[in-house]
Amino acid sequence: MAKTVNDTELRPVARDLLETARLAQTPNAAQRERAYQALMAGLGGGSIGGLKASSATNMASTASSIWLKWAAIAAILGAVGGTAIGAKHRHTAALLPTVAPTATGSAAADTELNAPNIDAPDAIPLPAAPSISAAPSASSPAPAKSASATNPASDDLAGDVSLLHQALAASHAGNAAHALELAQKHARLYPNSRLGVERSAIEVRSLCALGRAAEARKLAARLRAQAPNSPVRAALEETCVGR
Amino acid sequence: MASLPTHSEGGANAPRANETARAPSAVQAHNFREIHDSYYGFVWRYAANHRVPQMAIDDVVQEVFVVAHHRLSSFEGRSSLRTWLAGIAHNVVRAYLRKPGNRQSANTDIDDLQLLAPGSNPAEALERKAALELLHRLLDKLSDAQREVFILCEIEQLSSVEVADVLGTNENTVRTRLFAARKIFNAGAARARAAQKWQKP
Repeated sequence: MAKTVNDTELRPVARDLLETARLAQTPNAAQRERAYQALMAGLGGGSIGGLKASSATNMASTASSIWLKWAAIAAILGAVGGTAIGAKHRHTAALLPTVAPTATGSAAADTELNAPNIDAPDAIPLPAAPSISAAPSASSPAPAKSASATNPASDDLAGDVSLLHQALAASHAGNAAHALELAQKHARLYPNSRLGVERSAIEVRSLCALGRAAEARKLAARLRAQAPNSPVRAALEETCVGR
Repeated sequence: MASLPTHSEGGANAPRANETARAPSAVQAHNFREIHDSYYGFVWRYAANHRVPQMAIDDVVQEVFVVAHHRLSSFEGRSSLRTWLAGIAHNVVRAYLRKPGNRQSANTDIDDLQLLAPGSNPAEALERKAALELLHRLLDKLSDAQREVFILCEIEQLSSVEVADVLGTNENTVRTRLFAARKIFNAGAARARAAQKWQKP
């Protein structure tokens, strides 16, 4: 006899979601340590108003974020190229949307680079799949070596990703001119990059920020034609080229 | 250090058994470092799930522990330490969110830093990010009262009695809100799963 669903309890799929989310929201020991040191420094000063835990953790946060953003891109490359994604939480993964509907707004380009929607095979014409099976771990953050070591064809993958990172960082910092310059440099150096769509999204966003709407629209039109089903399309709607 | 529940590292249920075993009056004897490390994750998640903006979470969490530090000597052990801390967190977070513009918008990006658990790989990090985005969307569907109860009961695994204590209400009210919240959350999770299946036949 089939078990009836009872809303007095959470369904398994909801429980799995909570478990995964809970893990994602659990600070690690290093974060706890930094927070405690900041707290003690503040208590020593005797002023709650003077406490600023965020400033105490800024440097470490920045470093971790940079690593994780690289890792996210590596995952995108791996997934788009057909690399199998770890199935540790497969049950929960089945629940998750392939396109995050809330991924809009000012962080458009960032959304594309970090979005969970990494299985958009028709996003861009792709060359041979990169093999990034050796994903970097927290204990050995050496992504460049891992990537190039597993696939000689992607020798400069690290440079590719790094440059795009710089463009993204500049965009986030509000330096649209520099972001555009870096994105265009990326286009020159890596014309066949697998992150071409994401690069174009940064360019569009930067052009909009610089008031060069006509150029942005032209590039966006090309991007839409090139990647009709990419989540980047939705993100573009939030920029000056949005219809 | 091992005697207190380690919410930031362990499962939701196991630490509570340890805490229950501890005599409340003995809590005051613990050093503050132990309390901080044991409950830092709990307070951090509580703030994050209440939509305190990412850039302000550390400060809000710190304020919770500052208040706890100042009041620890007056803690009488009539409730568990976790319930006591939850009460402080509830008040601090509520006061913070009451100020105009302090609540994080639903579309704000998730902080990458929090997705990188030790030993995790990029795919897992992305999966966690998607899980968090979905969790926040579902929490947004709840009323403030339902969300409060849901977070404490389902995410932080407090009992309905403990939650009633934290919120200063009765257990029946907590149960009613929890029932309604579960119903909404179950439906939202089911819809998300159905949508995912539709997108990936």
